[in-house]
Amino acid sequence: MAKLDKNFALPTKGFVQWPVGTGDSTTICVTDEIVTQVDLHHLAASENDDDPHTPIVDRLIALLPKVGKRPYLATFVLTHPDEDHCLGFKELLSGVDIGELWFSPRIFREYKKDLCDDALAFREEAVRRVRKTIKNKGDVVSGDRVRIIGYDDLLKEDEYKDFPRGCFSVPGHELFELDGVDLAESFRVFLHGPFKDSSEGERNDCSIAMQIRLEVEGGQSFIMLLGDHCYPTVKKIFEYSDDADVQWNVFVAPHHCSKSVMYWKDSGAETATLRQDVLDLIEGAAHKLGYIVASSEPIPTSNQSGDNPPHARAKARYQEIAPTDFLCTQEHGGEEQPVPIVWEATKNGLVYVSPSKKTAKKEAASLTSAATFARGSEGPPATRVGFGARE
Amino acid sequence: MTAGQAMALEQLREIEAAPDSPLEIISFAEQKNGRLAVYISVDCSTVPQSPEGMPLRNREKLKIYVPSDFPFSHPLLYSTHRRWEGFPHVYWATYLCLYQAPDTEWNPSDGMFGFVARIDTFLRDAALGRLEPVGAALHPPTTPDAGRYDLPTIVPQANAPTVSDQPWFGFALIRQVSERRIDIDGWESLFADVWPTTPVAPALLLAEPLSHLFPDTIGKLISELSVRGISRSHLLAIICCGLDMTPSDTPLILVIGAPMRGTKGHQDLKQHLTAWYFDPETAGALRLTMPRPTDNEELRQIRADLEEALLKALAPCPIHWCPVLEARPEIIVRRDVKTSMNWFIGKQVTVWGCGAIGAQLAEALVRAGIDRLVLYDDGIIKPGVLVRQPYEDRDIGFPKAEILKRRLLAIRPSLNVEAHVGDVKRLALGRSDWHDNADLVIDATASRSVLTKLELRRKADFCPVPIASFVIGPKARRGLLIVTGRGHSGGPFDAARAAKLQLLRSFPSSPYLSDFFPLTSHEHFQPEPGCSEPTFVGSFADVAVLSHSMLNALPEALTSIHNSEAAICFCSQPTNSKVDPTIRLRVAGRIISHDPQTGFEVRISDEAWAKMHSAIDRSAWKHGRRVETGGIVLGEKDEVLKIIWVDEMSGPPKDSVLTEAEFICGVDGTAALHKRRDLESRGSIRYLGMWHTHPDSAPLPSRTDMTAMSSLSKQTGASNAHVLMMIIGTPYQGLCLATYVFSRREILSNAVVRTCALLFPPSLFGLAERRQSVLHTLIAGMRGIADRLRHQKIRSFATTQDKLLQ
Repeated sequence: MAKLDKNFALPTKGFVQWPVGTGDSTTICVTDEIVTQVDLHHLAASENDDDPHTPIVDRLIALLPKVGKRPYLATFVLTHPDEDHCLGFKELLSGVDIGELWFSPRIFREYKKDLCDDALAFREEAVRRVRKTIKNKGDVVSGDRVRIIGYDDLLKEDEYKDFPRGCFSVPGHELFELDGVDLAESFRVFLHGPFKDSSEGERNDCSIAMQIRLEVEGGQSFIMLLGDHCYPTVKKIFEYSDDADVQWNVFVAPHHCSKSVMYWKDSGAETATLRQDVLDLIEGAAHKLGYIVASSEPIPTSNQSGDNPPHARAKARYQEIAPTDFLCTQEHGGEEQPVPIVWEATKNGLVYVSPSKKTAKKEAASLTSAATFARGSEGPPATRVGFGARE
Repeated sequence: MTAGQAMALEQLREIEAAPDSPLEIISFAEQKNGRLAVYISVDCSTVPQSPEGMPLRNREKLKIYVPSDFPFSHPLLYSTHRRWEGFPHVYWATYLCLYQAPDTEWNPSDGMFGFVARIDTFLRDAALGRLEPVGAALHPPTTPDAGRYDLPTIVPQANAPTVSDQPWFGFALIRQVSERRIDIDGWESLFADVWPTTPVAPALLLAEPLSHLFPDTIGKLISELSVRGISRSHLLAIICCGLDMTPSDTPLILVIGAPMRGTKGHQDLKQHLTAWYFDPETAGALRLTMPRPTDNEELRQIRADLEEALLKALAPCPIHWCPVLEARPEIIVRRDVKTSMNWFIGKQVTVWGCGAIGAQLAEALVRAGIDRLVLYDDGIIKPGVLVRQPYEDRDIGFPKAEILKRRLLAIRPSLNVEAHVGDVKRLALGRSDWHDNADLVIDATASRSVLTKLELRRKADFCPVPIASFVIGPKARRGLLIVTGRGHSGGPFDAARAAKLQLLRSFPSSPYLSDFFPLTSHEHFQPEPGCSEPTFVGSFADVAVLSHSMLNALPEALTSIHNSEAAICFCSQPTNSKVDPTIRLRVAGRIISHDPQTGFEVRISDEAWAKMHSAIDRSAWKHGRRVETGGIVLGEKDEVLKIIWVDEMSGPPKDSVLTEAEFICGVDGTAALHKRRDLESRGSIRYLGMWHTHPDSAPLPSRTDMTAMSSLSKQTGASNAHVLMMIIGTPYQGLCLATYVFSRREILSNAVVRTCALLFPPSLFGLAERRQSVLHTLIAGMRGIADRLRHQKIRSFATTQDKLLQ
């Protein structure tokens, strides 16, 4: 279990990225009382003392604001029902009062056998809330609220046809409420995905994608959460959106720093090639203070073909465009005892809260030493080498 | 992809494959222009940074252009973004200047390894802000490429006015040198009482720097100027002033300066000058907006509206920045800074001879920065000299001095140069101001006659000017440089003699001896047999290398010696199969004694004087202080120059008689000594006469002395040949010298008159002071022992010498 500083507290307004391995767990603190969690990745191993991962559910239970004696989470957003985005939800649901669930209707289409236990638990809770919402014609209270995000023919089906449109959002919408609380002065979500035409595609491509803005006395801070989207969708998001809706201070590298965001293989092509255009678009939307975050295990210096994310090449490309820094959740504060990445939203915009322990960066060789190595040695070999005619 | 580019790529891959390499090759592509573009990414996460440094991201993506002829041309490096725009050594927003002098810094053999190491150094220095550290020269800003090749090049020659805390408005005084070149020769403030009448360009010199990359459009420039307190109306006003001073239908140039030249951290920055070119159409349109005194209100308004519309239309137009090639002394550091040739900066030099050596020297001197040059030569340019003299075919038939002057003025039009066509012996050495008030006189005639007459002229009309003589050996393999200090006892003729003797003594087998002091004359080379003056054999390269080598050695030679000394430098070409080591000699000044009556100057070497001194001491110890002593004097005599060089003074020969009243100089061994020294010195040390002492009295010739001289003169041949008598008296317990030169004719006439010049050599006042003290010559007008004065004789000596100098 990753140790947590006794004095650690969630920021009043800000974003927190947790070291939960290769998986997403983003906490959005909107007010003292309103906190949103986007995805969850609670590894069982994280509960061991010597494990570097954060037991996120335990942390949330401990740190979330209390309503009565129970921890209260205003909203839980599930970008898509993969295990690395919902692991631990069942436990969270039992330990925390969740005011509202946001999800893509895609979850209703998945076969049970394709979903993990926590995804099934989420679906079960979602179905419950959807039915209650339909029954009450949208007049539900905290703990029963839902918001379905995305286009889908699902809502044309008889079972869901009466789902109130007020609880349904599509990409391009902006949202200012969380669990029924109007936060328009300090909070805004702009929905970028899923795209309508992607509801039949890969689950990763059907992720909820959004820009979240926190505002304090005119100072704005932005985080871009694009789930597990790949190059075509990420490019579309940045290409088709207004500049204001894609600007970012924190860009969570989609799919845990996958190279599929910028290396893409067109149909018929033999290999994936670098797509600088998407990198240029991402960089172009960055604020002067801009962090790119890999929500993943420490990033290796190189990958083998077929390796899952995180990808070293993706990190390299992000490092080239990150205005301020590139961070990895599981490396932040040191790989042995990583600490959450915290940004506070202030009237001066985003402020990175530096961890007390310096991130121990792995020393790269200098260009000169690499060139020296490449030149080769001019000295004789250090060990004997035999030559001879006899075999 | 060429083989070189493939190799470059392979080397980059090697670097990429190094353990923990920070370099990654992202992609590469061949370009239409033959270059190979390689995109690399460099891990900069561990590169130390400082706030004032160039900000590096954790990784930086860079673009390398590998030329088709790699590795013989170096690759170019670009950033893939514009974030570094404005930082030192970042040009045109993305080009990273890695090499200041690629020809020397780029190592083809090291290829991409060296290049990548250079990138590393660049990024590390840039990140720490060390590319232009405090105290280093600021990198000048750049102007966007005008994309035009028809713009005139501006050459600022005159230092810009000092700009304090307010912008400076005025005019640059311009001169159209050629169709493609305009020089700025001066500046005049807009607020001067009288505006210039010569061609001008309006000028605006800012008090604050502009951006490192100057604006590319007119609108941006107006905007940047307004931030610095120059409003649009200010700008238009200075443009209109320029238009007012410029003929219509001609282009206009606006000179804009900003304090961006100098040393980082230094307050007193110099102006970086740029020139904005307005073509005649734009200038004409602007002219229309200028109000006229005759304008009525309506017309004034029309002009104002036109101005507004014109500026609006011009705002997005590119500025055509002229190329500017700096020549301002305040900006340009001479390429020969801290070289020996810097000694010549601002000097006035006279060069005698404009041939193979003199023409080379003159050009080098002009390029080195002398202020004034006086040339003498009587020759014309013949076809054959083009082989080794820096003249052209079209110059054939013209005087060398005139053509050389023209050539030098083409190099530096501001040079003050005089060309005298004629014989230097007549034109320069025929005048008492033979030195032309120069700081240095160079004799490059290689003429013994010139050298001889110089010695004579210098003796007659002494001027404390250093003189250098350049001579090249008969095969142009070796050179001889003679430099005499401004107070040396002789000129180059004198020093050459001393050099010969020193060589014979210390380097008897040196090839320099046979080149410059041969026992027999060299076989003369006549380029046009039977019809031309003999000269040496040698190529342009031979002459150039020797002339310039010696010229380079001149300042050091001159500054390393005392004014009373001379310096000799023998050098040889490196192409000689066996390079002769350079020999540098110092020639001490001599004690000079005069015989005013005959005009002879007796130059006594330190060694000779010391030996004589020793003989006197030894005699005093052996025979008593009152006993006279003496010996014979050896050296060389030049009857034309009326110079006697005393190199040796022997003690009394064995058969001498030494008493208190008389010194009878013996002859035992003297003939042998004369013969031996004559042979050893190749004729430069021979018997000259006698010396003797007058204890406790002044060195005035006695009757006995005159009888002795009469006897001597009878034994020494020709009637006009002179014999030397040196008398050393000790009137005040110290040595006092007088020298007397008699001819047989004079003695036979029985009419000897002498004005004695008594000399107290510096040993009387301490030898240590010898080099720095002017010889204390006491000219005592004393009547000689003979009563009968023959003025006619004396006058005849003087007349002869005067004639020689004319």
